[in-house]
Amino acid sequence: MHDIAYRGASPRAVRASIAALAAALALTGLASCSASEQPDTPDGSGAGQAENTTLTMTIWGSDIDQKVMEERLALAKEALPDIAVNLQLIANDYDTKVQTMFAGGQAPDIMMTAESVNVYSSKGQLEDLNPYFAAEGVDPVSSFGQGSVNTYSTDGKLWGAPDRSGAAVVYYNKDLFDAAGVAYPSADWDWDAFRDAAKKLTLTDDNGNVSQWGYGAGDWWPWYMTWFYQNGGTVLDGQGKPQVNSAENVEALQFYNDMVLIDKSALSPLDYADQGLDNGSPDPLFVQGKLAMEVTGFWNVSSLKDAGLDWDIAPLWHGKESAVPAFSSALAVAASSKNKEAAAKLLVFLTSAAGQKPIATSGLDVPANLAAVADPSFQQPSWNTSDVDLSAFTASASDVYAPPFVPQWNEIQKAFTDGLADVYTGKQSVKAGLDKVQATVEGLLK
Amino acid sequence: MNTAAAARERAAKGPFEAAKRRRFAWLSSRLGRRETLLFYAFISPWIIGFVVFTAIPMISSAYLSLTDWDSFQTPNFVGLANYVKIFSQDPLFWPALGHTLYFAAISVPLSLLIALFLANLLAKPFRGAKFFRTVIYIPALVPLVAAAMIFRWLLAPRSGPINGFLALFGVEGPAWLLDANWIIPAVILLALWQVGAGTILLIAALQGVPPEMYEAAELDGASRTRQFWNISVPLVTPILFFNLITGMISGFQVFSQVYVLTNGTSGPDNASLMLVPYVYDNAFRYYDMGYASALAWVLFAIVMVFTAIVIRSSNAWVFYETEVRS
Amino acid sequence: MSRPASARKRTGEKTHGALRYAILTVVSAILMAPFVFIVSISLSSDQTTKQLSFSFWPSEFHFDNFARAFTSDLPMGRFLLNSVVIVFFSCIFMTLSSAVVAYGFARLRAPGKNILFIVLLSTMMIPGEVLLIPQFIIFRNFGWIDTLLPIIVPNLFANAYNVFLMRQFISRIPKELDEAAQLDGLGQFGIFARMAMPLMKPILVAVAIFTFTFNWGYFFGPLIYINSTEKMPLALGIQLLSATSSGAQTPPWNLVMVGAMILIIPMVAVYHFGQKYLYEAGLVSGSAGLK
Repeated sequence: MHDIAYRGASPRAVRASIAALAAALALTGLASCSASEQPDTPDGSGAGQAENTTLTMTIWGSDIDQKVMEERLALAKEALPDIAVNLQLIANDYDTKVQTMFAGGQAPDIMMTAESVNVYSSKGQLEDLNPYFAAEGVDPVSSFGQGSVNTYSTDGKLWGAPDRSGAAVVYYNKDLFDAAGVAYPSADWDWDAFRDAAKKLTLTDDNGNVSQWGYGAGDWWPWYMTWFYQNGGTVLDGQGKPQVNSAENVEALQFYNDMVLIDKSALSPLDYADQGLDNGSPDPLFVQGKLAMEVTGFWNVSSLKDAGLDWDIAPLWHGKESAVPAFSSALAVAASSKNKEAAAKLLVFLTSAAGQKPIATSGLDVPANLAAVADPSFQQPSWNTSDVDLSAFTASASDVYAPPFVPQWNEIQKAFTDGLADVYTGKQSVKAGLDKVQATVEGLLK
Repeated sequence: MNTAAAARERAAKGPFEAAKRRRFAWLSSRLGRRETLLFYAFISPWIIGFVVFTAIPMISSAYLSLTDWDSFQTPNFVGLANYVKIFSQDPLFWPALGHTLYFAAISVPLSLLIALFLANLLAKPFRGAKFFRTVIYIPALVPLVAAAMIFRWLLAPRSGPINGFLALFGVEGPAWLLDANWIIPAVILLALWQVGAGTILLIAALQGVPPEMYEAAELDGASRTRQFWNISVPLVTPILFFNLITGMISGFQVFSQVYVLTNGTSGPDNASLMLVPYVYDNAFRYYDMGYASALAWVLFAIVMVFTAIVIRSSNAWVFYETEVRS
Repeated sequence: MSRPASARKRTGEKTHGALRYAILTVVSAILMAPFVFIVSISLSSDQTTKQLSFSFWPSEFHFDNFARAFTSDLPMGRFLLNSVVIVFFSCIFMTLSSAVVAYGFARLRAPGKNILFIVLLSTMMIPGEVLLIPQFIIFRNFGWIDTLLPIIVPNLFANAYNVFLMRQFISRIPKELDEAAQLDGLGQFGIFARMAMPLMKPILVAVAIFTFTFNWGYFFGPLIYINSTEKMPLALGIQLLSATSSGAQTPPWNLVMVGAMILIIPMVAVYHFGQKYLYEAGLVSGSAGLK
């Protein structure tokens, strides 16, 4: 029995397996290397005509994001028939994969980008798009607004074509507001009005535990930075110097933290942990009907559509100043691309009103192109059967602030997460926490 | 080669050189040369793979650790600056090393003991053995993203099952993931839950212990505990040794468990920061590949030292049927 | 199995057996509790998922969640095929190459062996994170990006973990067997192929099971090296099922768990049925005695 099983098995088996592997790979076409060689062969492989250009494009998101982009690329194909696109949806670890592609000399021609835009631009990896927009006779500022252009520009160079950009809005549960007899949120609210409303919307059970909260936020830049900006504070000043522990910022964060720790009207880290969540995932509690207000982006419209709640959205309240965060993304062209011209041309089309229409009609997001936002396809889309007040996304467009998307953005985020962890749980004062963040950020930007 | 060996043999004069001399004699013999050749033929698959796929990346990362490479632009040579920074300027390196040692020091021996205990229960044939042997391996097969989601819920401070269980005994459970003192124990719990792979190796090893040996011990009146320690354990020491070495190496390199459980924050406030997550953050979130490479090589050196200590000690407690050293 | 046993021993066996079942039941319950919860979540409705109001024991039975995975636009059949191709060749390559290399390290004497063994072990000690980009460049130079080759081919060259494991096993095989085989006129390779390999069956199965489970669940390598959807293995492709548009969005946990279940079930099946061979002879050879 011993002998039969393995006599001379290994070399022959290896040879046989190699042959079988080759066959299997050939059969399934898995060994084809054409895709990897595309960046080096501008005429494309198997595309037919010699003047055709095949571009690779990486995006993150879900299957819906992919479908919408495919729809837009189909429109682009009509306008620019010579450009074909190999679209890659990277569902997880987008940043790691794209970084490896760039570092490994296989950068995509076009990539979707957001916070990390200046990591790439500061290291010479992106192409300035201004000349290309100019060549096509398109003015980025009048197309996308100054705020969007600023977010993706440094030193007068535009590193990404703004693609999607929606202001954060207040999602609120109408039933809870009606039950508490509180007027719905509005941009007219100041901090005191907001805090008052949140208090009235907070309920406790017989044991004294909070069973319904007025507001839910946590450790995410659109939440804590907005308190700073609304209070006249900032993160980096005009010279790029960190101003994290300014009096304005301390006062602003104290206001929020008092809601968490004193009023108990805002969800605490402990409240989240009890749901198995991080500090800053209010969505499930909102859907449970235990949370009256949360501030987040457009994507929640589709996930709340059939949640069985009576809800609506409103523009964000204001503090001493009006300041609203926006959730945006842009499309950038790799400096190493062999087809920069074609890639930029494609982007000019994709970010035009016509190229952005599918973003609106599908209910995916808010288009960055102002004409696309003004279009009925966004303002009165067919999917909006519950009459959500979509104007909220555009009402505060002029108050959108540009967060400091510096190359060290990820480290700055981490500094806030670290420095404020003990603040949110009340183990450390707001001042001490922000001092710590300030010290870390100063070290980073030295 | 013969003359060289002979010359060296002549030169070998000290009394403790006798063994060496025998070795040279063997080496220079026809049989020895043949066996040497065979040895290299046998291990050639690994050597080829090592040279092509591993050695070059290792050498380049060693070189990159002496540069400021940001993973995009041409690297600048900075000498030992990254290493100097690690040991003298980085406020996070020493805590990260401490946490990693803490994690490894608890989780490696514990998982070894648990695996041995479970393997001992599962080794002998009994009704349902197959079922139980499958059950203990299932946790090791659960994707970590799914496992982490479950553990966050299990570890919920006020409503979670684990603290609920502790409350039965009047113990007030900690806030686990929110508590700097309890986050690493939480990661250890997750690691211990996935103890299956080590266990099944030990089951297989224990199965080979000849029943006659237990019978003889029984006749001598040895208790089960004594049989376990005096017969089972010594006979599976080669596998225990394997589990210890590989467990230690992977314990020092703990990454996914802590990364998914803390959502990549290594929180609260770096209380669970470990070395490999720190390497990853530097490489892929802060774009400092040079520094990440230096950190990786420091970790390499640390793991190497610990591995060497265990290997040194193995002569005293690992029982091989045959000599494996040359 | 008909060995004489005293009455004392039989009662001892009985209480011991009962104790064994008691302990194993408790341990199994602890180990399986999270798994039960995963099953429960995978069968939950979307509404329950959005609310995160799962129950520990399954209380809803939305088997259609599993159907959704296979009726989505994703080429699930293709993912499955790719995974099968990867694990099939990985298992064969890894098991055979590791056996050959391990035999060399365990049985043959040569200068430089100990150093090489340390080098072998040391390849496990460097965090792969810093090797990723250099390796990517190597595979790019081979023209292997967006193929399955970077995932499959390295298996041809053994790896430290499996070589070490097999070496430990081979070292338990009594050398007298080698000598007997030698007297039968077998060379070293013959001893390896005809004497050692059959005795190594359990460890070959163990390595095959580990290689299977590793590659079946492995998504990071494919994530880096594969660009086209139709070349993705199941572990990577299935993530497309539960991806969200924004990082701030709550993931559809029911679909995440469906994905986990689809990955886990084949691995459990392979192990459950592979057990027979794994535990057939044991990792310590039968004739071993204490020295």
